[in-house]
Amino acid sequence: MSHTPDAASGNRDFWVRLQRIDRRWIFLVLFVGVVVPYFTPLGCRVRPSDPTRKLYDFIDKLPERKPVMISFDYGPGSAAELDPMAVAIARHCFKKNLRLIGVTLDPTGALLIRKAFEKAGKDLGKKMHEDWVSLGYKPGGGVVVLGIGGGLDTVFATDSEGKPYGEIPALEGVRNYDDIGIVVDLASSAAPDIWIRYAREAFKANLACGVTGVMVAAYYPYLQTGQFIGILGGLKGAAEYEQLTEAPGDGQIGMDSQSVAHLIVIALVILGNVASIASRRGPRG
Amino acid sequence: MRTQVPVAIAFIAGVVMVIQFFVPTHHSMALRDTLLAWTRIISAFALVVGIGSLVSINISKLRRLSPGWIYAIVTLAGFAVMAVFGILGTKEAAAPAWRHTLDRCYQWLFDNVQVPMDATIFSLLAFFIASAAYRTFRARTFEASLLLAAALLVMVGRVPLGVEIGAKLHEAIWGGSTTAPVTPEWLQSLTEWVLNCPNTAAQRAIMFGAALAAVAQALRIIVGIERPYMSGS
Repeated sequence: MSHTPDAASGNRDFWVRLQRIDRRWIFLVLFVGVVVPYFTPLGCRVRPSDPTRKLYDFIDKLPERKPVMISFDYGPGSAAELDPMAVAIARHCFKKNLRLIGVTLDPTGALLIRKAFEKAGKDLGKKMHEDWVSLGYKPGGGVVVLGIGGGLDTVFATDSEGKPYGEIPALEGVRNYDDIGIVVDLASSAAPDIWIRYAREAFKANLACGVTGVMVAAYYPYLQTGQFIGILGGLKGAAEYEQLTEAPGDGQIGMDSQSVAHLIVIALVILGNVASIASRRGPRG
Repeated sequence: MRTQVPVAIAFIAGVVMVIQFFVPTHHSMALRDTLLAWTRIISAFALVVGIGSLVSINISKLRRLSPGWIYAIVTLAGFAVMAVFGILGTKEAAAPAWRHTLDRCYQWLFDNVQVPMDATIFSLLAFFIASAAYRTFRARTFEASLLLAAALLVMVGRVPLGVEIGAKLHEAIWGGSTTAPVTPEWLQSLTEWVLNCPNTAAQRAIMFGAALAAVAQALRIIVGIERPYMSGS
């Protein structure tokens, strides 16, 4: 079937116009794609990946009352992605009767610690200072991580509430990394690099991380070398951990929206490429 | 003298930390802990400098009524309110009866003002990325096509709906046969393989390059060839 030059030109105009579509239409489609599944869940099954399972298995095998340190190296901007991870891991630790120590290298992360631990421990009757403690923020980044290796009490003389280190039951017998079962770094920055360099390599601390979806690819090399015991990647990592602990939370609630959003972006990229190819084809003069 | 003393301090501190790492004796570790304590104190001063800079820039903006001066008021007001509640809510500043209330006010402001604002700004990225991907992510060359294919595969394999679609395809082709060459979770496995193998290989190459550059940079600072701590001199 042959096209007239006018029809071919019209077709090409259509594809050109499609490429220049007002970006607000794209925003609208994405908005609907995020909001609708949030309120009408699709119920897709989350299948835990190996990096998540490894972290879960490691924590699951820790003896009772062993301290687990979670570093909240993110601010409120990434809380939607990383808070569900913190809550899921904390809930698992509390169920296993492990002690939790919260620290942060990010000044805006300090208030997120208490919120996550309170949320995770509320139903299980876990109490601040007895079962968990928030040591808050200390400036210095790598210096703080190195300092913990020398003595946790030398860096944090009190907790974030001002209670002296020696009077906190949750910190009883905790001197440095040797007494901590695992350090889990939840980060939206390059903080996991700091923990790898100073906590893992200088003090042989057991280490795992949870990072935002866009960062996860950068940390896979550390998984292969065993420097990270496990990795949680983005909201999916949180949803996988929730699946393993059989405690659905914000991670699983958000997965349907994220699924649809990803598929929309994929569809847009394919459509954009089709439009680009079609607009280049035309009547040759 | 103004040059030699800082260079000498940087040299001694750098060499001590390097030696301590390779020779971890009781004395070297004690020295390390002292140096780390000093560094933490200096880092705290950096926060004070940052706050001073924030306040002075915004005040001068207000004085000159520069474009956007109204936002300087918002910044300074936000800073003042959070600082007042944050400082007054501490053990040292407030009576026990007031402390809990002030502390809760601080937490409330954080949860209901800062968290939603930060989350809003961050979530806007998703919309801009979607629009940018539609307009610019083109398979024009072989390399770009490869990147595009890998990106689309990882995107679809990292979400449950994508894995579910993969499982449905598997069922349509092999109908639940146990002799199928791949499992129903083939899409997730393929995504993990992309992240574990090609991605790890490329990331590792970048890391090695960056690590070697960091070593070279550290040596240049220790021996005083580069002095970023001296206003670029």
